[in-house]
Amino acid sequence: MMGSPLVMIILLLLFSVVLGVVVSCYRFDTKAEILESLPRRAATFAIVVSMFAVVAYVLSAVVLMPAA
Amino acid sequence: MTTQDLAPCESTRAQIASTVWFSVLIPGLGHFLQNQRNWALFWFALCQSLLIGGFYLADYTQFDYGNPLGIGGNTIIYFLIPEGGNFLTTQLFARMYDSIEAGGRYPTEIPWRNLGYVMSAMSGLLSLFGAAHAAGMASRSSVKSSHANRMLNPGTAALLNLMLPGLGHWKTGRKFKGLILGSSILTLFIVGMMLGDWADFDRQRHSYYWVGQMCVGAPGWLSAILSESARFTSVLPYQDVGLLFTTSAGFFNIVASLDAFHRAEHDVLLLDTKSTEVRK
Repeated sequence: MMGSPLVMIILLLLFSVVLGVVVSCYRFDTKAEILESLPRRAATFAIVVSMFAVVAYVLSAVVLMPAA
Repeated sequence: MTTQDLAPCESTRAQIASTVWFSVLIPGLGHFLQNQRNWALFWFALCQSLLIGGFYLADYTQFDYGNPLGIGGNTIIYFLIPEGGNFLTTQLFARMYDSIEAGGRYPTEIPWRNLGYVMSAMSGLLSLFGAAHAAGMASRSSVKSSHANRMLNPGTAALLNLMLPGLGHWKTGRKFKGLILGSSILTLFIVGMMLGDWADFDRQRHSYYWVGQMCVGAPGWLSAILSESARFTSVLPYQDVGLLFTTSAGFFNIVASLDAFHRAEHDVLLLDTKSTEVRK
């Protein structure tokens, strides 16, 4: 069953923020350092996953489509 | 001074390594070799009673989720996670008993199966964290400063994280880290459970994902027991996302526990450096 794209984006953002928190906390020990690196790490993960999603979607609509 | 600059000396590292190996082999053995007999008895009794009790309650069906690894038909190691954290007893029981379900081909009604799974998994995980506790004791005892014993054992910090994500950081004075890590991991776990309608915490359905879910620690163990009766009534749109979230939360908690150990050990070693500087 396919979910709503908007909900999927919100869930991806949630996962990216938690991943960013864990990685930043593992790398740094102070509040300032953690907060400074958190947005960059979360955004990097979210963007990379989104790019993979776009590539997968395009491939599914072109060469991987059974009727293509 | 960075964390990388601070490390226990070579002999202490060797002692920590042997302590960890012996503790995984038999819970409490690492403590025993450090003359910590009360702790040795505690870890041994806790881990073995949970494992044997868990096997008994689930009628040894845990062995349906393991694989014998060996050469030429001879089993050398029975691979079973997370029970394998309590290594020797798991190996012994794998040779003594078979699952009464005969590899899951004839499913039977076992009333306490889920509780048995949770207990045996707790034994494996606690055995590993008991090894961390013994390693923390070895690390702390190598420090010359008289204040070292007042510092939190690094293994205790890791263990507290297993009890409640973030608690180990909180107890070492890293309150912001404790709060942000704990709330993030628990939020991910709870959202994941909600997406799976609280019914996707099941070893029979996802035996490997279940191991990750168990790594969330006490909140996960409690959820596994409380959600036992929950069943799917339909295919849910975000069920797979929920499974990914709950499993990832468990693995993130392991990373957080490693960090709690590492930071607490850093504090102890830093104390040693300061006392050396004072002596100079």
